[in-house]
Amino acid sequence: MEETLTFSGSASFATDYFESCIYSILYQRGIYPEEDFEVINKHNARVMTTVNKELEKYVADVMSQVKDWILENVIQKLVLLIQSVETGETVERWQFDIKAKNSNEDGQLISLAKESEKFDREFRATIRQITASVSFLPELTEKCTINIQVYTDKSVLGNEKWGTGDVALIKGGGEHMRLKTLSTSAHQVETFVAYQLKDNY
Amino acid sequence: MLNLLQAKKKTSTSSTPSISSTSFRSKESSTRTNASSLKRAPSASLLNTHRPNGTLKRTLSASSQLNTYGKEWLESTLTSKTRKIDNDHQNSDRCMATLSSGDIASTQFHIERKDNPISFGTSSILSHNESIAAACGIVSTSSILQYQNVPPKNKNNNPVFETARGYLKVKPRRNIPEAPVKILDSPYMVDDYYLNLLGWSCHNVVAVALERSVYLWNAETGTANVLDEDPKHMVTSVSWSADGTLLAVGDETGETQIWDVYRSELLRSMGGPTCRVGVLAWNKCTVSSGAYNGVIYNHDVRIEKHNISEFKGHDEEVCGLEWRSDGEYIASGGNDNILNVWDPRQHRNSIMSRQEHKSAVKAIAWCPWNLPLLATGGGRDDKKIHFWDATKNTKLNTINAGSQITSLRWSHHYKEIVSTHGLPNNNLTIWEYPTCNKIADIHAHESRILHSALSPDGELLATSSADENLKFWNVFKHNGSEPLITRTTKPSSQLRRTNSLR
Repeated sequence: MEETLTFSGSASFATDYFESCIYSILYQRGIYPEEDFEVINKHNARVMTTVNKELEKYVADVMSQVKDWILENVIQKLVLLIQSVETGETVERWQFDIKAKNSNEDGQLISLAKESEKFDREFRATIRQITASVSFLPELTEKCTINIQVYTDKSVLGNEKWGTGDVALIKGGGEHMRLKTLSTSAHQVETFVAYQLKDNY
Repeated sequence: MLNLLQAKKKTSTSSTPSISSTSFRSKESSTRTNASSLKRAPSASLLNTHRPNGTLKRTLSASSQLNTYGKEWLESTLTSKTRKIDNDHQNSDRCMATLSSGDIASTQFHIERKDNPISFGTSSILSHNESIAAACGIVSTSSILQYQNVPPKNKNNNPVFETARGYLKVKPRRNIPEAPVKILDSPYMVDDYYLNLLGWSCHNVVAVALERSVYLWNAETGTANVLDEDPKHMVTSVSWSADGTLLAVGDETGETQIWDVYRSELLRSMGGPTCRVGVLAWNKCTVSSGAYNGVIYNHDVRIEKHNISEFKGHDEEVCGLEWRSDGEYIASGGNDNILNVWDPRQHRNSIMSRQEHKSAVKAIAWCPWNLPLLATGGGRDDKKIHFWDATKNTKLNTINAGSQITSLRWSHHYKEIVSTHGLPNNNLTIWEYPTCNKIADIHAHESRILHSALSPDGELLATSSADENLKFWNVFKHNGSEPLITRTTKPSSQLRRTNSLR
């Protein structure tokens, strides 16, 4: 019998994807210096990973929690905020909408090999899009930092690591851009980026 | 587009000029409405119950945006078109930015039709709704959690930027000659970093102390004479009063002498410390003497009991001292690497005390055109120029100058500052502020530059070095324009007027 992708396997695919996206964004947008990153091969794509131990811990810590929430099926969105250090204003907002598919539907019978091939293709496409996004995203002129938010079901309670956050939207709505959709048999992730509208745009 | 142009041409060449392009387009769109509503007939019933005028809205917006697509689009069904877009999305890297406000109507339509796989700008609509909900205090279905740990700092950001700035040389907008305009011989110049032996008065007289004697060189006439014919002690500091008639001279015994330069007369000698006075600073009728024991003595030259207050904030020799131009604050630097800013009205504690320099702080300069701005430079182990906002007690900027800083002088006409340096380059450097770009770097002396002074017109800089030369540099050449200096006191004529009214 062919191996099929389980629900938890799909969750780790998703967190894998988030991690690569976050590192790519941090590298491409220059939030952390070049020397903090190195290129690795993941899902047949060249993606960024970090050699900065603190950053690695920060992201890994977020991801382990996010994975738990995906397994419990209570998470709706993961949001990476790029905010100005000085004003705290949100400059860029990367949003990952997570949708769990109904597992009784036809998708479940797809074999793991086929599934991961499809996943790899979509993964590569999105990473490429993030890299390409530098060409149209406005230059970050001020010092920026990051924040990570999740949108969960009301039943999820915060803990000492996860406190209630504000809706950190871009002032004036900003401009929005939809990236490719990533899907496994169990989940679908839609990626958006919202960025500040500059005067000369 | 081509189709439409051709169509336009056709209508214009035809004999009936009344048929305009707009009427042509409206005709086309109406046929399209028919076609698409026809093709989508099976799903129309479902749609109509959901939103009665949905189909109409869709076709209108489509025709307004896509009326140049031509016949092919017209004949294809709407569903097949969406599938085509979907395919595009999987096979190409094309990024399409969607204006958030541009096609709200059509995205709204898509959102309400939940079965439609394509939904451009969904996020904008959702987040907009969320923001409205949040503003109205309505609890939405999800809760927002934020990861509380602080992300690691970008460590490399600051120093890279700093050094990049320090070594970035920007071409000045004017010509800065790299050769001195004049060189004077100054034999027996004491090679001591902690002393201050050079001054330039507003009457264009340069005072320079060489061992025991103080020489006065008139820059206008070129004549030189010695102040005291029979000196007894080594001079450790000189300073001109604001009106250029009085010269304060500090010596190694701790005496501060006040000389009337034009009558060559010693007016008074004021004691205080029992150790050398390395630096002097005037504020109207007050002379502040920074002594070897780390205390700053304030002498009022008009009254008999001249010692009016003391600032005790340094553990070691005071070597940098300067009053702000309005006399509100005085900044002092010592061999204990401490920078202090004092308010003369509360002399017990400094209002700002910083220990960021890693070496003695001799170079101190208040900015003449931005009163709170203070520049300080560190010695051999520090090599940094810090810029402070003294009233807010904050550091504004830092330049890594790369060598010992012996003095700093702000330009009166340009937003620039000149720094003089010791080993290894013995150079003088002009920096732009606040960009901190290096404008000019002049290899000035054979040995370290000890002291500097600006001419009364703010153009020339005199530098005195341990190589026993006194050199004059035309660093801030200007066309006689008004200086940038910010006035804090009212002009005297206005003051006089208020007096007469009373």
